[in-house]
Amino acid sequence: MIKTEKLTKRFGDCTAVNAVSTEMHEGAVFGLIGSNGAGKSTFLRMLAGVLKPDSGTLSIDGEDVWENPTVKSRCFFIPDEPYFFKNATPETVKDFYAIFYPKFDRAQFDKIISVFELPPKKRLSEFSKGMRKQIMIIAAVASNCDYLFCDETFDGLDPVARQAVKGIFAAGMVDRKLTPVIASHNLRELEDICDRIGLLHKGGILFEQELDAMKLGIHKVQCAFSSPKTKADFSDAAGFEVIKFTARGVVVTMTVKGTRESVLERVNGLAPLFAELLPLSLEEIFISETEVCGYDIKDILF
Amino acid sequence: MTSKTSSSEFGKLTMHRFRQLTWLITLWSAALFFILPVLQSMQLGLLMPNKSSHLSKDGVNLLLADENYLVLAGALVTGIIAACVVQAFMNSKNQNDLWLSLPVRREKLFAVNLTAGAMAVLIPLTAAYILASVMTVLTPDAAALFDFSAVLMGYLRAVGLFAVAYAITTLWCVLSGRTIIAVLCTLFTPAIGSATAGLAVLLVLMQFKTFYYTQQTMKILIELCPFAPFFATSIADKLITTMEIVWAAVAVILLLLSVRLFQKRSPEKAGDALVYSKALPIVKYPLVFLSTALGWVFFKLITSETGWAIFGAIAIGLCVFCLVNVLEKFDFRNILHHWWKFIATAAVFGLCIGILILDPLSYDTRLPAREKITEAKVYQLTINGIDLNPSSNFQQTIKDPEIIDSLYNLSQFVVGREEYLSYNTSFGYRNDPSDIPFSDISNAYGSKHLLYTVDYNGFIRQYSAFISDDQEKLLVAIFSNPKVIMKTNGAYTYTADEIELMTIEFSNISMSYTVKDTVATGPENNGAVGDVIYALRSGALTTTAEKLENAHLLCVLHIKGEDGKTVRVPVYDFYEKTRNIWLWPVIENHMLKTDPALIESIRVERLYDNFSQTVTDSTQIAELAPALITYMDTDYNPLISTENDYTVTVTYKDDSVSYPRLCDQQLPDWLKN
Repeated sequence: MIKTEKLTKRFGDCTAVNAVSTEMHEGAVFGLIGSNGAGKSTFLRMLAGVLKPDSGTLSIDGEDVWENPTVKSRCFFIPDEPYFFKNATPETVKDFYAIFYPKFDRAQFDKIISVFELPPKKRLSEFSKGMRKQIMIIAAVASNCDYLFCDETFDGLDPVARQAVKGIFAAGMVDRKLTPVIASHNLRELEDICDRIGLLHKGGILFEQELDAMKLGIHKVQCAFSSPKTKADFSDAAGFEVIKFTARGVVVTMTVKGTRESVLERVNGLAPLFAELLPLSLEEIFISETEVCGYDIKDILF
Repeated sequence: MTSKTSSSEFGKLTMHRFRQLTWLITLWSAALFFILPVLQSMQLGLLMPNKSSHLSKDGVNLLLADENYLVLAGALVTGIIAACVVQAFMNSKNQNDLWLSLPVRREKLFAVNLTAGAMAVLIPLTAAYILASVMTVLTPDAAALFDFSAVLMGYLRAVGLFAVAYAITTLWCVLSGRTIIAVLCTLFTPAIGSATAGLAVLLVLMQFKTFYYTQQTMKILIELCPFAPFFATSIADKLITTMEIVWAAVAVILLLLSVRLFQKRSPEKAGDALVYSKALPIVKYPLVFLSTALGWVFFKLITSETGWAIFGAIAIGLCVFCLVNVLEKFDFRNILHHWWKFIATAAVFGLCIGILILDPLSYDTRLPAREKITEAKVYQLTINGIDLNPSSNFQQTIKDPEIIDSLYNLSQFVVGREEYLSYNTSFGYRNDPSDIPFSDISNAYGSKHLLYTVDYNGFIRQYSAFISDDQEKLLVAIFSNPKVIMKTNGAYTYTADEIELMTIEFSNISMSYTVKDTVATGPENNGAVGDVIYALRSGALTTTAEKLENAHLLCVLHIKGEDGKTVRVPVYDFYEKTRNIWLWPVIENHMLKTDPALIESIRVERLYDNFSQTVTDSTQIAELAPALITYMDTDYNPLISTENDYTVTVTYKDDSVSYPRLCDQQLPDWLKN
């Protein structure tokens, strides 16, 4: 388990990560979202042991990461812009990482390379950006690490490759409880893979929650009544909290917090002509949640 | 992780980094191949077989040992490059992300890089040395001349220089965080900077002034520059060798310091300096100052106008200043924020130029004021290569005011003839003979080349100029004051017993003769050596200014005393008595050996009756031998009368020959009429 407590990193006058406390459990995908400059990469680089925290604690399975080769041998960091040596090829990348990762699986590396149809002896300088990222992901998977830190990893991957990578991650999670931590500014990329989401903003973590719980606890309701309704008509019941309310004549669209049952019970109690619960995208959930916190998510992410 | 695993990882990672340096290894190996094996094979004559018979010990060893300057230069350059390349990851965020996320401790990573970089340079160097040495040993004529210890020292010197360059650059890489800054800092490390600046100033002075420096200053400059002692092995100074060892030791300390600083260096500082505020001025301002000075010199030389020189100084200085700032900040907008530094740089430059031109300390003006000179040393004084140095050796300090006056007159003579020296209105006199057009040498300047190095109160000035015959006479007149010479080198006060060796070197004929104290002749009965001293002294003391002005150098007498000192005494043609009395007789005297046992035959010819007889009988030789005398005997001994009618040729058993005269009183009866 990765645990941070008041983790802080400053670059001169700028506080890139400000007292972030969170937990990331084994075998679950943690999504770290935030706008550019929110501190995602800095947070990940601290997790990977590249940067030393200025204050606070960071531990992986109870051990400090900084200058701890034992812990770092169980982690793999895929940076936003991975660096490769001059004249490097997939083969040399494999040889390089095999030096450091005792459980590095060369056969698996070769196998995935062939699945992705990447030429093993071709120079990486001749690869596209997406192909180079694929190489890093393959090296990470073949390293058989326990923790995988991905910084904007899906950026640049085509949809097929993206799905393939997600499949590889899922297999790793099943096989050996791989714990990916994925930072991105694109909510849609994380929606179908993350178990838990944390939103970073200006170095601080705005909130974090299990994605399922998030989805189960918030709903979009579209209903129609015989007479126009106001927000006040819906806001008094326990376990039912209107986050967003839009009324167009007798048709009402709301984003509400509460269980599916409690929401339906409250809406049906007002005798609607019809009422239905619509699926919420992660983006909509975040918009709603952050608005509750007093932020405009559009200012944060888009 | 077990230690075995750890060491295995270290080895694998080192080899990985080593392979990353293939380009450097290839280039360096190729360069070394030409520098050592190829040049050495040329030196050994392997590429020119006919040359092999002329091999000398120096020819076999110098390229690998004392004069391996190309290897040293290569080791210096590759040391800087290797350090920059292997530590470049500190300057890049992307590389930091790769390296520092790996499960390896930072200091281990640093050590891996250091080791790989060192291997990339040292393995080719070692291989090239082994190859060149083996090739030398396998060459039949060269094997016996191969000096293993000297070659080993040459190799170690190259390794030491590499270590120094490598360590300094590594340290600057850690401190500066940028490759270009690290390289500049390496070249302008304070000691290096001071040495470079000092040498640059000296070069300017040498070109545009009478060249002067203090020997101590030069030594300090060399010793303080971490690279210079390795190149200064030709200076026979124990301190130079010591400084090589000291700097090599400092290199090790610097590497350890680099590791320590790297541990303290935050990864997020990639591309940033740890100590910019302290390090940068060390680089920037000497660089700007030197550039400004060079701008002045360049434009002054081209246009010969001060206005353009000022423009050149400002323009070049400003350009370099901007360039350094751009390298530092990559932001032109900040340049104007340094206005006060501009002013400070300009003020320093102006001050230096002002000092050079106004010469408030009388450094310029070609000569220091006479009243400031209390002692002097003459390191060399030659005319067309003939050594006329009156000092017994170059360590002799001259304090006698009269002698200093003479030397000062000589200095004035050399630099005072403005029409014969190239004059630059800003920097005074150029005294470089190469500056004089060759066609002018035989006309205005004459063919006599004067080289004169004198040390006035610790400031060494070197004069080098072509002089005409008239000037040479004046020079001789100034220099050849016998009183000065006698006081200076003591040659005239030697007694025969104090002289170990005396040789005569003739200036107009290719002849060198060693005077030996073998036969007691002459009025002082001190033998030939004493005769020479006596005659020389009498000649010198009767010298007049008029005679000196018309003098020509006849020969130079080299006298080595029992105390080990060697003095050189010029002998001029107006020393008539000296020339006639002792010069030739002395030579003849030494050729004459009167021991009958040594004589093979004596041929006697009589002019007036064409009588001639060759005596080979030992009895007759024994009778005739006492009559053999020298010209000196006849001139100095009034009791001796000479039989002038005879010409005598004595042939010795060692095939030498002499031509003595015959003493009338000792003539045997069978030879008389």
